[in-house]
Amino acid sequence: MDILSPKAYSGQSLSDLPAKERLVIKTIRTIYRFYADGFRSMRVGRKLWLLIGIKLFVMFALVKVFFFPDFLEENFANDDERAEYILQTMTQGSSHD
Amino acid sequence: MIEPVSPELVDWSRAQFALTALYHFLFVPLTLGLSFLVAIMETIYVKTGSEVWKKATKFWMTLFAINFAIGIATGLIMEFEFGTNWSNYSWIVGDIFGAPLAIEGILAFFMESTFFAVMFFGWNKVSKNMHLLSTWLVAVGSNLSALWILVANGWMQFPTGMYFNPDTARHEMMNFWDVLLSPVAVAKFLHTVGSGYVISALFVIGVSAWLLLKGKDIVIARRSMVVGASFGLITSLFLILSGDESAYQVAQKQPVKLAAMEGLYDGEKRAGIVMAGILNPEKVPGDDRPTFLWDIEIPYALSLLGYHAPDAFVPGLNDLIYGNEKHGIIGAQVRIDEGRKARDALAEYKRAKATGEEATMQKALATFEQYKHNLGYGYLDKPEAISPPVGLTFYSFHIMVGLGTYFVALFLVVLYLAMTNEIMHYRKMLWLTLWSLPLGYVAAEAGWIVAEVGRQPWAIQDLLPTMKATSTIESGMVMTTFWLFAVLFTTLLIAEIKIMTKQIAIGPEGEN
Repeated sequence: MDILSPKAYSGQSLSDLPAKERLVIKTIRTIYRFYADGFRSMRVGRKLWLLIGIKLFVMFALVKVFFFPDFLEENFANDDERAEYILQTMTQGSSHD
Repeated sequence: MIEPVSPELVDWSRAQFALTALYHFLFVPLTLGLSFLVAIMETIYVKTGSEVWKKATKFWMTLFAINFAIGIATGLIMEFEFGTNWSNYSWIVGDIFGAPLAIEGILAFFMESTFFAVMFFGWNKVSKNMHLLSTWLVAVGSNLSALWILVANGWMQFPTGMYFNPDTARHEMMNFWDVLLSPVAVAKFLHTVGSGYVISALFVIGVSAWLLLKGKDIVIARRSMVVGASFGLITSLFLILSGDESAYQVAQKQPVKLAAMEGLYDGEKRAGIVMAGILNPEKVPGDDRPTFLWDIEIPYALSLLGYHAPDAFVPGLNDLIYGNEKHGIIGAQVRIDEGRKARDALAEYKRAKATGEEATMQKALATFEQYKHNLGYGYLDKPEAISPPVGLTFYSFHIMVGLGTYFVALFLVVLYLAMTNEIMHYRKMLWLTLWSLPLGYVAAEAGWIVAEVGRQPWAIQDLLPTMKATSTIESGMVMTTFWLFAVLFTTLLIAEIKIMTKQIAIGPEGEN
């Protein structure tokens, strides 16, 4: 169901709402319809959106999760530990190492 | 005790980043430039009311959308890599990069989700002027989005406006404007977006040439060619000017890179630019072998380019590596020694802080402050390590410059023939125009190789070498994801080319 259609407000007509709320709902509805109609009327665009969807899924649900953990987030509990580790790396090989 | 990073891991991490960055930049140029070309065509449509211009606008807009959709989020992979492969680097620069990248993210999201939608869905739904405004805002927004990324890159080439906090091991931003308006960042932004404009112009005249060769949509193709060639001529001249400024900045801030770009080993006054040449593959810094097997030089040009003075001394790799007392150039060994003093002082500061020795802390900090500008040199094992791969830098630079010069001539000829309505009679010229399109990408990628390979061994110029920027992870993992990305990006590229060529074949009169 179109969540912004008048049917979504069962038992209450849009005209019963205060002017300010009516304006907000009308604006949201206009924006929603703008995008919905736009997507509906696309031809080459549908293929592209499918491609974007697949790509984002592969990137965020597979690549990021399984192959790209944040090294410092995973291995250290807090920023102090992270800073200590980086300082240790930076001072490695010094006469005080 | 932290395990030292293996050279194999550094190489794979670099290869992976290079692969993703180079592929990402195949999609970026059209976003930067085609958006402006579409906006120009729509402006003509709004001014004239001509349906031909409306069709032309919609055609190029559709091609822009295809490129945008396929390229979107390819840059995000580099951010994944920062966290996994380059965690030391990410931590150290986190405070500097946070602001520009956050602005880029917010700007991109709002510009793209609002004005982009109006541009594509808004025909017949908003007024002509509102639609035109949205198209221009998409163009401006895309370029502003690039600004922040290039500011971050400019900072790596010339770190400024920051303070290194020895307690957090982070560079903290002291002056946002110094970072944003650094001469290197400004030159980098102008030169990079300029390359995007030129590629977009090559795209428009190349596709138009194909339409003319096929005898399709001749009116739209010819008009597009005039707009594309005019835009291309202006922007290719601008590209030469911004390239001149970039080279000047490189000479001031990264002289080793300039020496590698020109294959200059021994510095000289009235130094010339090698117009074409083949480097001696056996040549290494400090030896007596000739630098070139053969070369043609333009006298004085390098002194003019790098220092805006024909008599200026341009230091070569040998001067910068071993020093040149006569010209007041300090050798790399001195800087390595100072870098080690900075590193030792940082270690002493850390130790004294742990044991609460306040006086020792202050003394160590004072020493660190004195030598910190050479901190990165302290991690190098020999003076010769400051030299980037000369061959790759030299050839990439010359390919970029050679193609950039060719593009000016191409746009000039195409514009003349298109404006005199003669271009249809020059089929060879149309074929040349079509096949010049990939050369734009070759030039841009070569430019990035110059910028990034030419600044090796540094991740952050003089402060952090690449080998210290990597995480201590398994190189096998990086190798696996390298191939994963190679497959993913190649698939995306094939998809782009297929969808794009199909849409071009449909032509401006077809679906939108």
